[in-house]
Amino acid sequence: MAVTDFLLRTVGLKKRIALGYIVTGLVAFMIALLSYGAFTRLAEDFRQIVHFSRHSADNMAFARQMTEMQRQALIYIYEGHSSAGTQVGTIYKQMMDSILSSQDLDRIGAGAVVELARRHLEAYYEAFREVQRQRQLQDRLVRSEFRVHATRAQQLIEELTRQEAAQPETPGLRPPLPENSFLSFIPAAAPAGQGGARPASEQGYTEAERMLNGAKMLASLLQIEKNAYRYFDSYESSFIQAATASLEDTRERLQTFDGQDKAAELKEVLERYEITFLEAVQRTRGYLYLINVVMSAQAYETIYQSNKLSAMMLHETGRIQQEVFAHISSRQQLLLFSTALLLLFIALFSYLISRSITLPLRRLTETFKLLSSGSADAEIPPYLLQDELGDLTGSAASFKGKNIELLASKKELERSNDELEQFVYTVSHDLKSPIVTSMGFIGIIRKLAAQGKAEQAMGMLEKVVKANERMSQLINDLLELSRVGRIDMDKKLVDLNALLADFARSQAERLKAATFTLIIQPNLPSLFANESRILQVFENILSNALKYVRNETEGCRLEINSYDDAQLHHILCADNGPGIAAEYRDKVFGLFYRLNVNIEGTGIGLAVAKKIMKFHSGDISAEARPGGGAVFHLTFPRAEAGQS
Amino acid sequence: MNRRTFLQHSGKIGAAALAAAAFPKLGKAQSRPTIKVVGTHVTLLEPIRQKAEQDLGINIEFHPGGDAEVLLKASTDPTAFDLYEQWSNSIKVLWQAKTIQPINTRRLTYWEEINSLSKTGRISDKAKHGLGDAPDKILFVQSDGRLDGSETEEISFLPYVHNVDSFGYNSSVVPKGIPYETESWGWLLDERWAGKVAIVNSPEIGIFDLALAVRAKGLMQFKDMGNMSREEVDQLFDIIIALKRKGHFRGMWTSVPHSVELMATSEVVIQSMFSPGVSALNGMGIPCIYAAPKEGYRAWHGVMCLSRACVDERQEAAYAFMNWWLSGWPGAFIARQGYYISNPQRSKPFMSQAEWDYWYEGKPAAEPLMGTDGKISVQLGEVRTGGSYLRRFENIAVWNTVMDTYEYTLTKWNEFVLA
Repeated sequence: MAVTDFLLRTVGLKKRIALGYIVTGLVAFMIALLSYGAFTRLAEDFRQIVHFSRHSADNMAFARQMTEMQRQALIYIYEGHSSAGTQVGTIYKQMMDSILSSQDLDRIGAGAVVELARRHLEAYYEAFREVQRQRQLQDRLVRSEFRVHATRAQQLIEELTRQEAAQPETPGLRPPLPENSFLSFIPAAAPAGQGGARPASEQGYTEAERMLNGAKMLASLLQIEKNAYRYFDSYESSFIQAATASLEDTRERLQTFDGQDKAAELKEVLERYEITFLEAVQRTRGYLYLINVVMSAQAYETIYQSNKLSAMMLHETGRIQQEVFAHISSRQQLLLFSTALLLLFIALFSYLISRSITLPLRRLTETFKLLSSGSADAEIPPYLLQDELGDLTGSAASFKGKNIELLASKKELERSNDELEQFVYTVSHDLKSPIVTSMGFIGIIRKLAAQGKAEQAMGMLEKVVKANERMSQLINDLLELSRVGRIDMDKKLVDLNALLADFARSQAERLKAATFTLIIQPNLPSLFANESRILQVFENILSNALKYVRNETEGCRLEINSYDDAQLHHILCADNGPGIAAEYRDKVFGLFYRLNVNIEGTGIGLAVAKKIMKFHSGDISAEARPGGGAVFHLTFPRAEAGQS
Repeated sequence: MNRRTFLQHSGKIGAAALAAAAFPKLGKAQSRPTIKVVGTHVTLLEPIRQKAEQDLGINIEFHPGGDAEVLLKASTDPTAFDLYEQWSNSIKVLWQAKTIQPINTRRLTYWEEINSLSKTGRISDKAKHGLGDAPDKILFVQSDGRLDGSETEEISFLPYVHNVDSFGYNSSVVPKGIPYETESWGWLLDERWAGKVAIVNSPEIGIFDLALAVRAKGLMQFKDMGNMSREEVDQLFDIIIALKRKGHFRGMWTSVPHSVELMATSEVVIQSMFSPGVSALNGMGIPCIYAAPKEGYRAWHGVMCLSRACVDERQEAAYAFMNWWLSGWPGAFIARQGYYISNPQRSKPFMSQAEWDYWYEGKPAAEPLMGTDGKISVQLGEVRTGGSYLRRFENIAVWNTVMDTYEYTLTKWNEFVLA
């Protein structure tokens, strides 16, 4: 995995562990932060809902208060209870306070509605103040001035009547009385000109007539008051007409008393009485209009705006509630999703961190298992960082090195054992042969000696000697083989050209005797080697060639040549003999192996050559020569040569 | 100067001369009298005050206010005003309150020019005589002090500004109707506009809008809609309160700007309306149509009343101001607001032909027409809804009226408003 590889390449073990904790902490912090954000928003939304709920409650109270205020205002108007008027002022103040506390609703676009409600409420209260003023004026007119005038008028009529009663009657000047004058002592409030007092032109009333008119004036006065109060109780306008008709009737009857001082004063009092009454009527109508029309409309508009505000707040509360639910839902999802994502991230990150720790450990464990089982092939997992795992990886590499060495030693030991077993077998077999031969001839000699055939026995004795000599030769060769690698193995740089030139010269007689040609090509390499052992190799190859090469056509020949490649020096020793069959090309390097037992030899020479080449980290092999013959191919490592 | 402008110019000169002749006593006055005029914003306009002061050489104080406020002031304190300008439905109140005095027609320069609408209640022979307090019914002061239609030399008010009202509707929502044919007061109770209907908050006006609507829908009949009995008032309010409780009405509007705001904000699509409100909405690009109901209009007549306390020099000045109002220029001025004057021919020379044709003849505007604010209020080709002055006032269903059951309707109105 790329991330794990990246971590393994760049971040140390301790840092990885620390990074894991830090990232986990950060994730936990982010979850906490998200939760905090969600709860903060929810708290704000909740505050909004509470805020609007409070305003809604205030608003509901507002509508109730408005209705109650109008009720109190009506009580004040119709019942005259001043406490109701005071209560209107108290409620108004509470409502204005409520409106002022609603100014912040402007942010939901309710500012204009609140302002309208305020304006209508102010207009309502302003109208009520006017109503109070008119009500008080009317009250003053009705309860004070009205009564004063009525009482004064009554007093004046009574005085006029008394004065009339005190005066002597003047006969002969008696005009006819109105037709209905005697039908009722107290006439109803009939309009002027409908059978009331006699016209002013008809002067010269009798005392009785004046007395009667005086009584009727008192009755009319009573009717005025009665009708006036009926009007103020019932607000029925017909009582106004009745009252003014009675007033007119009183005025007309007053003409009976024209010329008297009290009559003139009564006329003025009646004038003021009428004005007071009519003003009281108009003030009554005024406040009735104000409360029933102006105030009710303002109250309705105030309530309407209040309801509108309620609807807006309800809508806003609904909107906020929807928002809250949407927020809760979205925050839940976000929180859940984020938490799941972050936990997934933590899991993934933990996995990566643990993997970045366990993977090299597991690899190393496997490696150590293999190493502990002695494997030299165990792969050392790559680990570049210098940390604890790097140290462990280094240890594994060391372990592997030791195992490789041990395995090599073991192989060498096994090979040595094999060789030794082969050697023991071969030696015992090959050494046994001359002994068996000798023992056979010794037995024959003993028989011949027992028969007294001494001469024949002596003749046999020579064969015993030869067998022993062969055995001696075998033992010498074996001794030489055992010395390779142990004795006299110092190395130095050997110029092969010089060495083989000397070798050719030393072998000249022998070669001549065998009519054998040794060709040594120039430009042979210089080798870092043991000179005598290397020479021994060439001697053995040449000895074999001398023994096996028989080429009447070309003449026997051994040619030594060389070439190099990047790693090795190659030395080729090619003869033109019968060659070596492919199946024997490895066997010829075995101990005591001879291709032709009829040819003299111990079969140890090539084994020695093989061992010498191994000692020089090189090798020797047999190959077929093109055109016939065998080639002994020697290789020497170039690096070793370069060590010089 | 072409013929038309010459005549117009000559007319103005003539009118000015007549106006000057109308105020002979003022010319002799040593001091410059001051009169107080109490009324509403409809006629108490600063250009009118300035022009009157300039023409008459007197000081004029305008004290505009709300309907109820000024009526209460005028009905309780005759010293608070010299002249009172409001609607004919206030006459009964003022006359009963005895805060105003009769006006002598012999002192009114243009009395003879005042048309029959004010004197007989009918603009033409074929015109309907609207229910309620038609101006003639409350104009003439009888010898017994009553107000009646029998002509005398004393009148309770100077007839001058008047108009007809109906309802306005937003034609982008309410399908456009045909004037006098399909447009009906019953539309106010159409269930399709439930929750988007408003009524003017004035019992002596709004009650007739509702009564006309109820009658148009066939929900009840009236013996005399202009003077309903208590039982009729109860029945009417039972119907409209039930509708209000169902949420049919958005509410009441308390001023012209309020009515404009309600329709401009789409809270309302159909409602009682006054002419300036319709103009304002059209100016805002809202297609508000001022209906010409087939049942007839609800009409109103402006009244100018003389305070009982107005005497001597101030009385002379007050008469001069009344005469000035009928002298031509003021009639032309208020025509540009959509109102009519009782002697329109006197105002004609002060108006362009296009203005006269549009405002009085009901013809398409031959040119863009200016309002009193100097801005174009009528676009080229526009036609006034309801047609000519004559046609509009031939179709009067009812006049704004203070009925005998006025106080009772107030309490019922309260019940309706708060239902």
